[in-house]
Amino acid sequence: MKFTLIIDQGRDEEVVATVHERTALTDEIEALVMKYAGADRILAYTENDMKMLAFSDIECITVLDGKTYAIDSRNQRYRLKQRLYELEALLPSSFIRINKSSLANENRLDRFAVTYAGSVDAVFKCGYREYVSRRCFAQIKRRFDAK
Amino acid sequence: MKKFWKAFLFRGLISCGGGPVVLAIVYGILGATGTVSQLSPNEVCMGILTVTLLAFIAAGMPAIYQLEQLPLISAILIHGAGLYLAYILIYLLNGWLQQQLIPILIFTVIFVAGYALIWLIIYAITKAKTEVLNKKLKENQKSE
Repeated sequence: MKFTLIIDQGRDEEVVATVHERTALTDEIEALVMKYAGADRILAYTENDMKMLAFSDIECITVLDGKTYAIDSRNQRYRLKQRLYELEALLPSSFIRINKSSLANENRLDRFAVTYAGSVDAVFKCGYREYVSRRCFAQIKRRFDAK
Repeated sequence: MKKFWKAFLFRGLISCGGGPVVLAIVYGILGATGTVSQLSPNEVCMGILTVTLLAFIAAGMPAIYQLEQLPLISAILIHGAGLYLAYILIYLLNGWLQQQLIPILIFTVIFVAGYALIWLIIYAITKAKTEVLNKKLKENQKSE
């Protein structure tokens, strides 16, 4: 792998990496670039407050009654203005879809647990649980196998 | 639910033609072994129509597993109950099962035991897959 730095004040700044597959290095570069650009956080709302929530603090993003919520590492719930598909495009690759209305931060996952009903739950480090759909379970398995 | 009924109809329509084929094979075997030597037109018509319906239901019922919000246990129970009702009604209608308590009980016990066994196998497979996934999750988190 080679490193090329092009200094050109006439063009927009961007970091482009050509790789064969996503690795820990590409994830790290992505996080670093997002942090540098100030794009590693999102505006989140509570009932009477708002704050910039760092992506690394978010454990799960879920849609309840048509509204998008982020659950942070202290199991606190924040309202987000974006829709889930918009967030999916915005968030780093550590966020994986676990069902049709939830995204999980892989780095903040504690474990996957089988319920007595035979379904699988994602258990987060803050204690929050969210079900994993069968389709997403297979996708997560493929993703982990590829790593 | 609209998605379920659409998938149910689609799966059922695709597979219902297999029912009469299975019936023809069973009748063929029964004829070849001398178990059945003759059938009335009424029995043949009833057999073909009801087995087509049975194949339609049996193929359509797994669509219930596409409903993500439905807990797996509910999906399993609805699927099992739907199949049980379809099988027992069609067997009784065709006279393949005697309309007495003991044969119905034996059929029920065999059906429930078979269904529970399949469910246990699926549970064990899911548990094993989840353990592998957890191991990989920890490995990924360590390498981050």
